Amino acid sequence: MRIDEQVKGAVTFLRPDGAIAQNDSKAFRTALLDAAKRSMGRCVVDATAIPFMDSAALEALLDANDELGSAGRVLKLCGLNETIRECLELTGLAGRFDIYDDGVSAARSFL
Amino acid sequence: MGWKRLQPRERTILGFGLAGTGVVLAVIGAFTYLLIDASAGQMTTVLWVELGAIAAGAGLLLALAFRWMRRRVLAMSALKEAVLASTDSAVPAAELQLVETFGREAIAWNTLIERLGDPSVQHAEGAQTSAVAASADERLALSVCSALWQGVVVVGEDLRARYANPAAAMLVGVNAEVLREKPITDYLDISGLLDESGGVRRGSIEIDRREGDSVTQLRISVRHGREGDGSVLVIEDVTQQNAAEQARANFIAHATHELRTPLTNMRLYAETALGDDCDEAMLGTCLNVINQEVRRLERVVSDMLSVSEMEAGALSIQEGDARIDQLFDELRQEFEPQAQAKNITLKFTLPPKLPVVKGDRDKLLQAYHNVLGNAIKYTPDGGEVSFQADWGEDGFAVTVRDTGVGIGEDDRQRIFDRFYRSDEVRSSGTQGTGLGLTLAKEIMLSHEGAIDVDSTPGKGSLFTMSLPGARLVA
Repeated sequence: MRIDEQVKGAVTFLRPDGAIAQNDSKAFRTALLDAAKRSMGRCVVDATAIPFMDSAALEALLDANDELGSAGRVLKLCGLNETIRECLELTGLAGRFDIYDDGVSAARSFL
Repeated sequence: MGWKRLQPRERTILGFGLAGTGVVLAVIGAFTYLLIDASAGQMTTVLWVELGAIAAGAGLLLALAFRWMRRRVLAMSALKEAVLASTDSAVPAAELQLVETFGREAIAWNTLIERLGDPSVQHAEGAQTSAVAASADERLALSVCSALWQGVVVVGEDLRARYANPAAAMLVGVNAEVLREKPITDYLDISGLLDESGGVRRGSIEIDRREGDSVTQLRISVRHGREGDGSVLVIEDVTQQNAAEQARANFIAHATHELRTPLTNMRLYAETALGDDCDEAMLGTCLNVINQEVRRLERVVSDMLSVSEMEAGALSIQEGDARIDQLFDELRQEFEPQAQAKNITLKFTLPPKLPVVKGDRDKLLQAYHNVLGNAIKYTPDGGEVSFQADWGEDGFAVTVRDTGVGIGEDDRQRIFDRFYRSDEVRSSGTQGTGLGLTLAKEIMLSHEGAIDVDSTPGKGSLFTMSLPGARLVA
């Protein structure tokens, strides 16, 4: 799995490319927490290129969300495919994140 | 009222009274018996003794009654005092207790006091309940403040933070405990918000907070709390707002320029064409230029409309069969004259047979047009631009290579952003809205395709646009 990072305006987009499972989850978590800290919470996970993620990846999302939540922010996700969207809904986690259809909408939410 | 319901002291008094009365009656009876055979002198003596005994008995009874009544009055008085004192919550229950010798009322009162509990304790409990309620309100307020994404810092007259929410700690870059240790001015440059006496004045400023390479723009507004509560500093992260406003301003500037330039040309050539000394050849030239400028204007407006559609999520794809060879013919016809005008070598390297692609013909043409147009636009005179296509089962790919100015690493990250134009491009005076590549990318993505760029500054760029095999019709 490769994680691309892109800054649009003042928002940092993390775009993992590939499934996030097992060992990838740790790297994903590290990259996510680092980006969240560096961007002062202006961070979005662009899941367009993630076919699926395992429970450890979900935990990484929750960890980052908790980190951001301690400063009044919420982790924003965009470009979720049907599999990941269902995964979040079935685990009851969908409501914990701000979910957008695309990156533009997610970036605009910081305005 | 039965004997058992009397108090011991009452029983004693009543006992003594009855006993005394009995003794008096016994003495009177005995002496009366003696009077039966007594002489007149003896009778007088006996009567005096009897009267004395009656007087003594009556005196004893009066004394006992007085003593009993006095005690009752004292008990009632003490009870009244205790009742009045009970309204004072500061008086502890022990001091409200009455001695039991005051009678049943005193015992009943003591029982009542025991049941009700200590008023002073109740008062303290009441105060504690209020404190708990206050604490609940405080917790709620803290919870609300913690959920805010805006930083909230309450500073006293000494400018030290009395309270800072987590968002403030993050925006300032230190934790809340550390933030309280020193005046807020040690962490944030809020000199613009300080009055002559060094206090915080009402107002709002924007400052930059740098951390490494990143700059965060903070807007700090001051709200004064109630007297003695200090001042409330509300800190907002406005970096994204400012970036958006800047992009919007840039777009308006670019769009205005892009629209005005062709209009100016059209007006000038129209005036020339209408002039008395305009011959047929000049008229042809003028109309040709006007025609080109109209087409240019049309493209600019089309780009803007497409971006508006894209932003609104309404960029529609009219699915159909797009003959790639026809698209490329149109591109060749349009760009070969431009390349010649700049003395640029434009090479089309195409396979003998080109496929038919399932997709939006006009949109695909727009994507290829934008990328090839950029290549020619940013390649200096005498340079080279090659347009190559390959296809197979895996899909269809177009590569556009130029020997232009190239794109730096930082710009490569952003060239597909809306309205983005690198500083070098802007300073070179090359026209453009910064929308072409954004649209090209959106169009390729809407066809399940992709667009990638590889570039070396000063040497040139390579753009690759690919469509999946599923899009190939034949």
